[in-house]
Amino acid sequence: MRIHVRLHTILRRETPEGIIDRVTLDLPPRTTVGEAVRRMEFPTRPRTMLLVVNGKIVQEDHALAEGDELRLVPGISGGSRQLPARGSQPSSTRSRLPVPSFQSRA
Amino acid sequence: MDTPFTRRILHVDLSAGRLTTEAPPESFYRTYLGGSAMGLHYILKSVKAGIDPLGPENVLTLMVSVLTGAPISGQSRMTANALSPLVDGVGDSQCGGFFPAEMRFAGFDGIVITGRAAEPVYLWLHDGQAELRPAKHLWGKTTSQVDDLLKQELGDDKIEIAQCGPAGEKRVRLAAIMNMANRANGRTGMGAVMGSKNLKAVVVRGASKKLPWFDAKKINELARWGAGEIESNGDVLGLQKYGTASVIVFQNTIGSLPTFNYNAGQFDGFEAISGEKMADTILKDNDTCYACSVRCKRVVETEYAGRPVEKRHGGPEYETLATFGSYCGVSDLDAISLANKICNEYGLDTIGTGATVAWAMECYEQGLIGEIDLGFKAPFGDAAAMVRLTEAIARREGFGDVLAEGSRRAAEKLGRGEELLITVKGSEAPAHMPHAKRSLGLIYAVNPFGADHQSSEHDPMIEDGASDLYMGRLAMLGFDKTLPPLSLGPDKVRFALKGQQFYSFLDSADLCQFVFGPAWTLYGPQETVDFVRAATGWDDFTLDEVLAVGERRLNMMRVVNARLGMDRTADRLPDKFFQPLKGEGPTAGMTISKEEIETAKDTYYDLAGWDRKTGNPTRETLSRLGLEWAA
Repeated sequence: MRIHVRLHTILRRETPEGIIDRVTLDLPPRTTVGEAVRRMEFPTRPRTMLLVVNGKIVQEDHALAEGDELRLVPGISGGSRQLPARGSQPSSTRSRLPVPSFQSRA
Repeated sequence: MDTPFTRRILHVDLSAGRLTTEAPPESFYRTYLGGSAMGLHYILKSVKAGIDPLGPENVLTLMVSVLTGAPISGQSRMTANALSPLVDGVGDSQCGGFFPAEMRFAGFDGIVITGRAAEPVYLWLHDGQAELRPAKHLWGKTTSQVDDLLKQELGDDKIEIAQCGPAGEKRVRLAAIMNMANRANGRTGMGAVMGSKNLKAVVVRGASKKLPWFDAKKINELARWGAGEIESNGDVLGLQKYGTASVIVFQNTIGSLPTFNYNAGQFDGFEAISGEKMADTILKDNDTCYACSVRCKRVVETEYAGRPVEKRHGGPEYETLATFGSYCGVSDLDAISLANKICNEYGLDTIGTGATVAWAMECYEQGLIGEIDLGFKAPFGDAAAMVRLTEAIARREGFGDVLAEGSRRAAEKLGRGEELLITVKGSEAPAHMPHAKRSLGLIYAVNPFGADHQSSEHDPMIEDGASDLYMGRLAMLGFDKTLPPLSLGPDKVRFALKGQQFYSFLDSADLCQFVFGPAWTLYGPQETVDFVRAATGWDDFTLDEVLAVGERRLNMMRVVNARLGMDRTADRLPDKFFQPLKGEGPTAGMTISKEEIETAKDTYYDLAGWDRKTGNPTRETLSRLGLEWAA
């Protein structure tokens, strides 16, 4: 299935071609939000973040569906959830690996 | 000077044209640190019922602290206090920029201003010297014009200037004290107090930025650590990259972005007024305050309806984007930027002004005021009308003369629209909704100077899902578990009070609440204590003392209000907050319960050591805090 991810504030990546704040992901059916986020690399990993599917705040275990819009909204003044951990990566890692199926805003 | 303490408070009697200086002992600084607490010390000496906040008897204090001017992020802040012409009771607001640090370099910890000058004057402070100079030629000029004129007159473009703009001169009750034409002591009408005294500006300059800190090496170590930590602290990094506007999307998502004058918590136009949108369009740079690595300030350049918005006016903060944006149903970032410029040029609080405009728009929607009153239509969503109303307030022109009194007095004057108010003690509610952040319902009610979002820690810091960083720091304040969302039981009330005491300390120590704090900031409680020790040499200063300084200042404010006849009946939220929210999102349909707030108040007063019936500090509490003299 294909979902559309919107990245907010510090999750957006600046590249020579422009800002990347949208990503399309091709995922196995019934992939959860947490599993989808764990596949992604971010320039900075915020401590807390809202997971929002089609405008509604969800938990990590929410199962995604074809065409869903997933917004990742870093929290300031808090957040409703800690960022799903990505394996053994420490929470303050700067990552430069590309995410599959980029859409650049440039 | 061979101690870390400047020990110079300037007393200015504007009526007599007399300047005297006072050298308080070190114990004075240890009791108050500076800022709000220090200002209140002087106000409490004379305040009594019947003083006109816009009259000569009102005491205006401008205070920095024992930490101001240190080469570390987040210390260049100045607090203004006086009886407020807008809010019932005491007024209080902080500014940032370079003025606070320069005031310390100029050799002054604080200024106590009484009386009223016969003609407009400005105060010129430089290297321990002070003089009053004529300011008639500056009267009526915008803040940027005054900045340019004073730099020319004094032959120095490195002076820093705190001024009341034309709005303060005209005693607009929403008037701010401005510096740099884009930094503000915004809330509670301190600009109107300054204008009422014919004091146009305070100008400061110090030849040297070197102050004899007790342990400069430790301060440098803390400074370097903090600067290096920004990349790892997502909240602070968000401020650096997107400013306070970084929270627009977050706030909208949790249903806490006030829309249509606090009738709903989500706004369809949220993306158009977000930090991301600003960064992608009109943002030209980011700016900072003295020695601060965070650089959270925005610099925008744009135009609206052919009117330019120049870079020197900075750029809209979150509150400004909300009050001129979602509160008014306006999603035009250029129009909001122009409204921000107007407020900066005339010297207005963007929170109170935008919220008052929104109130007027709702009155228009409800048919309580009409085109015949305003001279134009002003429905929600009309960006041009929002700008016109803002300018009318700034100039006290037409209906703006009524709105310039603030929304509460405007409703009283008109005899209608009271049910649409969002004020507490006369102060318009800022853009963090108690429907989503329940402890703010309590804090907005009990805060001595009305609804204020920078007087306590917000609920998401301690609610389920809060990060290890937040909880690790809050554990030092005695909180070892997360709390359920939307709770306002005894544990949440205790969190509200402790957070309020910590923030109250920050406003006395004149520290930036984005840099120092009990949860999400760059420096937490331990680093705050370390900084105080390194700056002052007080090696026995502890977190308990941090909270005591904050608690003392809150009690001082409460005593000021009690002298004016205020009690727990003033600690009340507007009726609108008890109606179900409209619109969409997680807070749609939500109400705040009056009973829950009153029960929370009872718990709060008990924990604070205040009398439950009156809401005022007991003699025992005042004595414990060394305030028996003020009782």
